[in-house]
Amino acid sequence: MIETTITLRKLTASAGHILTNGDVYGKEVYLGVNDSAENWREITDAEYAEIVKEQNESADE
Amino acid sequence: MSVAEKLTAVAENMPKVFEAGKDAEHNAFWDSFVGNGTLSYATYLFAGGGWSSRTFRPTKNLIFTGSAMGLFRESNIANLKECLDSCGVILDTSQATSLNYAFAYGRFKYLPKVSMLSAKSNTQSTFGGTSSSAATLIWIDEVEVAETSTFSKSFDYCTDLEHAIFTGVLATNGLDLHWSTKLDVESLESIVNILQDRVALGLSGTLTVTISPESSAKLSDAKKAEASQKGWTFAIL
Repeated sequence: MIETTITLRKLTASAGHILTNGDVYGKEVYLGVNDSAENWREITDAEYAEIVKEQNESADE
Repeated sequence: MSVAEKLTAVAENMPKVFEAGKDAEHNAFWDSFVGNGTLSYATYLFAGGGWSSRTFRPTKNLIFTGSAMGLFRESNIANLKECLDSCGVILDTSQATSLNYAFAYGRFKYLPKVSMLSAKSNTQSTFGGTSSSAATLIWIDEVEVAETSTFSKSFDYCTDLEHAIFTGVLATNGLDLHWSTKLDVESLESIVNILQDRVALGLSGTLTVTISPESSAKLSDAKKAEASQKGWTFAIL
C-alpha cells in the first residue's frame, strides 16, 4: 500500500472578478510550486472584458 | 479484325482511356503544383473554399521547409487525415517556419499530426476560429511542440475540440485551451506530461497553461500536483 499526500494551492477570484498575474487570467488558479498568491491580483470582469477587446483589436490589425 | 470489331474495341476501351487521361492530367497538375513535394514557400498554398476532399488529392508527400502561413486557411476539407491517408501521402510541418493561420477558419474536423517544431512564435491562430465563426475542429492526432514554441491565439474558439495529444516539450507561457471545454482526459494529461520540469532544471519563475473549468474537473488532483511540482501554474478560465 502506498500513501501519497497531494498538496494543491488554489486561488479563487471573488464574485465579479478575475485573477491575473499580468499575463494570464483565470477565475481559479492552481499555483505552481514556485508561484505564490503575491504574484496574482484581482481585476473586475469588466476590466477583463476591456482587455480582451483590446487584444482582439490589436490582433485584427 | 474488321473495322466494326475495331470500332467496338475502341468504344469498349474509351472509359479506360478516359480514366488514364484523367490520371495523367491529375499527376501532371500535382507535379507542376508541388514539384517533388518539398516546399520552401507554401504560404496560402491550399487556402480557400476551392480545396475540398474532392480536389485536395496530392500524389506525393508534402514537406514544408519554409513558411506555411495560411496553408489551408478557409479551406473546405473536413477530414484532412482521411484525405491524406486515402492518397497514401503524409503532411510534414516539422520544418515549417510559420504556421500562422495554417488551419484556421476552415471546415476541418479531423487533422493528422501537426508539428510546430520549427514554427517558434509563428503559431498565431494556427487552428483557431473567430467569435462569429468558431473552429469546427474535433480531433488532432498529435500536436508536436518544441521548447521554442510559443502560442498566440493558436486554439482560440476551438470549442468543439475533443482530442489533441501534445508531444515534445512545452517550455513557454501562453498555451490557452480554455475555449476547448470538451477535451478528453488523455489530451489533458498529455499536456501535463510535456511540461518542462523547471524545478528539476533549476529554473526560476513560473509558467502557466490556461484551461476551462470543464477540463479542470477532468484533470485529477494528482496530475495538477504533478504540473505544480514541475513549476507550472494552471489558470482556469
